[in-house]
Amino acid sequence: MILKESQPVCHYRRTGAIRYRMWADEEFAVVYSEMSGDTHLLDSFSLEVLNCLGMEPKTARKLEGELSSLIALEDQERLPSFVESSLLQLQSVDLVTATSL
Amino acid sequence: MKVSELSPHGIADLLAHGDLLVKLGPFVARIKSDVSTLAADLASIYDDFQVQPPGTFADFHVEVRRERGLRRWIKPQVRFFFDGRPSFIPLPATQAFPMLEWGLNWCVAAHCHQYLIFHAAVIEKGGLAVLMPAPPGSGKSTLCTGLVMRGWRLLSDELALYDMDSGLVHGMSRPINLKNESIAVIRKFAPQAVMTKPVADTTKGTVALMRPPAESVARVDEPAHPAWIVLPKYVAESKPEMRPYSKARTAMLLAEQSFNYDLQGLCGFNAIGDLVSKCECLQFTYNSLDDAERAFERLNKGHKE
Repeated sequence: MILKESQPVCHYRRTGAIRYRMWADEEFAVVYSEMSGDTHLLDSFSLEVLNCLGMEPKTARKLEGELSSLIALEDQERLPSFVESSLLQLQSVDLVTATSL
Repeated sequence: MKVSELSPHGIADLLAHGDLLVKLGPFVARIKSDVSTLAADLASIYDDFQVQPPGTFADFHVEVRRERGLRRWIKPQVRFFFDGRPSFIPLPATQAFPMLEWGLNWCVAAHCHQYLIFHAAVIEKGGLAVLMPAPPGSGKSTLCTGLVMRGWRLLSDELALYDMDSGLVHGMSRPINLKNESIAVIRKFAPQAVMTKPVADTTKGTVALMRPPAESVARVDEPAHPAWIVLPKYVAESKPEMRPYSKARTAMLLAEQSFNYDLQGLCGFNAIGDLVSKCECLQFTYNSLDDAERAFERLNKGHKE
């Protein structure tokens, strides 16, 4: 019997505390990273991903579960790609790190 | 005492000895120079500025000095000194007065971190200020000059000094730096404007410095309440249009156009957030100063295009 090696699962967590400002009827927020001192312009969904993450590592699947209520029913199929896209963006600006466990 | 009350010989003498103390809004600069053309330009363009008595504490000690050796005679150059130390590369002697202005801008931007400093023009009317943050070449100095020549008070064409505690913006009402085509545009729009002779071949092209209105200089110690943040955009043959602009994008632009945002940390982030929250954020597209004058009058009276 050949056993398949299980794929490592990525866990994501925030790199540090953040502050943000968002204004009514706007799609974007400005986010300040207390760790780096950098300021970023993020879309509202990515901000929700960031707020969801906290310092405890979570998988993308868990994030999808927690964020599904934000997405319209007809777009639920696209939720995994929304989450993946946001996580990539957040990693590119060092707001999120990923570890394989 | 104002600069205008000194004789040309008196100004030159004070400059030669490093004893000319000029009030620049919240700051005092001690200025020294052995360049005669700089003395003449200073006398003309800074004539409404207050000269401080000897012994006044100076925030900046600056000097524009002719280079020694061959460069004193052959293609003569001048160099800027801050606190006695040479700063920046030397420039042709014809650029002595612009060099003084750029050097003073650097002094403030590099040292005055009690303010959050934006690369922005600031004008005021009726107690309310417009901030116009914009990258170089956006036309903000031309727009600022046009509005100032039509009754708006000049706080600055370059450096907005934002007090993070009071939420007020301060300026220095210093000479306006006009570049390239804008020199002719302003000469036509405001023939009464007093300017230096244009100086060619600077790193910014051809520049001329315009004397700020006397009333703006007289009121330099009055900060202003920012009410609007307007992003100007000159577009040839466009209709004038003032439209709402994203507050989040305005906040990012302010952070990017700040000289010392990175030094202010979380205080700077909160300050920009508060500033953007309390101001109306707009983008203004225009193709003539006459249209701009009308649009800003409507803004001041509570209307938008």
